[in-house]
Amino acid sequence: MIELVALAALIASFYVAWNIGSNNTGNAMGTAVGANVLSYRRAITLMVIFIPLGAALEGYKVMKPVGTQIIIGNNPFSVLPQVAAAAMVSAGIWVTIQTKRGYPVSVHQAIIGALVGAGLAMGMFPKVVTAQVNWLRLVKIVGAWALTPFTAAFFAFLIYRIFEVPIRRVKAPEKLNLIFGLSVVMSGCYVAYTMGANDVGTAMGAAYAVSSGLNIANIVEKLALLGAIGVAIGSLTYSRRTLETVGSGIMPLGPLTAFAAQLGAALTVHMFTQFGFPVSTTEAIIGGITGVGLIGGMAGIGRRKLRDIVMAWISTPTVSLILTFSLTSLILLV
Amino acid sequence: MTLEYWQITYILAVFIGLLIGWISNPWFGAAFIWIFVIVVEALSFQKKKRIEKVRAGTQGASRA
Repeated sequence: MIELVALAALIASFYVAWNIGSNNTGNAMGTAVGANVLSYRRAITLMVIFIPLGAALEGYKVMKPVGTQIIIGNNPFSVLPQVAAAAMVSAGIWVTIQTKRGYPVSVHQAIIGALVGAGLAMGMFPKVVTAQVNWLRLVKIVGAWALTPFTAAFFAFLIYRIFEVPIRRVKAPEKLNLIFGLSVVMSGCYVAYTMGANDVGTAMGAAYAVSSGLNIANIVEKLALLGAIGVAIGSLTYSRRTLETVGSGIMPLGPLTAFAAQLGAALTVHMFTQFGFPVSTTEAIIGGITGVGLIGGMAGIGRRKLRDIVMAWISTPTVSLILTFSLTSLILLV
Repeated sequence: MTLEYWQITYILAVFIGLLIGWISNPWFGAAFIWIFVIVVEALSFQKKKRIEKVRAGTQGASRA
């Protein structure tokens, strides 16, 4: 029976991974598509290559901390996998709703919000587990979230300034197009890679906690692969709307601005990944775009769109926390 | 959905990368895939049709 419930938790984590693909593809390739450097089809193909690559090579760095350090106790998700399933379904449903509206929200925030909701409920209604939220770890994660857009904006600003001068010196149009095109595509691939490393790790964290009690060999690699497949399917099937929002909704992007925003975001996410922090690629890329946008003044930035996105960021962890808390309480009380 | 020529080369590159990663070191496989994609994209950007698209984007950028 416990294996069946664990399978349900795994499927729910897969659903979250699908959500990452559908909602966050815009983060990696939206700027490139918006700048007319990549076709939609080419962008998706590159995503499908680089997300699994990042997940396979570095996904474990975030997966383990998310699975074991946010909710602490006597391995609660392994004892009650139905709670992990409820948390992942709650996070996934909210992100699906936002994706349908075209808003790129942070799947990380949805997941962490859901885990905290589950931890609070398990702490409040102790049944067969003792569980509590590791508040210190949570504060550090929220601190990393707060730093992410600013760090990405700073990196993007710096990258733009560094590359601006030498690129202006290139006079041959063919050479210029090659430099622009290639730099935007490669930085987009780098974002996709870091998405694989950070986002897939976050999505599969709860599944890792569940399966740690099942004694399965090479579990991290298997979960990373499963998560990467989920993200790839999400990219292929349901990513167009958020891709268009990131690509053109915030400000008009040229190849150099797209490159600076993407590289700044990827560096930021990759940096936090090394420390095991589940940070939002969405926040990073929008921070990067805004950082480059500031060079030309605030006029180029679609403020209303930006405000809507920030509101979605605040509501995402809150809603998934409340949803999961309610669902988990129901599970524990019935 | 039909696969285009460049998509088939990418699929092959991923398989070769996986093979390299499996035989030797995963990072070598990943490096192969990265280099392959850079070379294919660089060659692709020299095609006339794609140059036109990037040029349009570049002009859009200067307007922006």
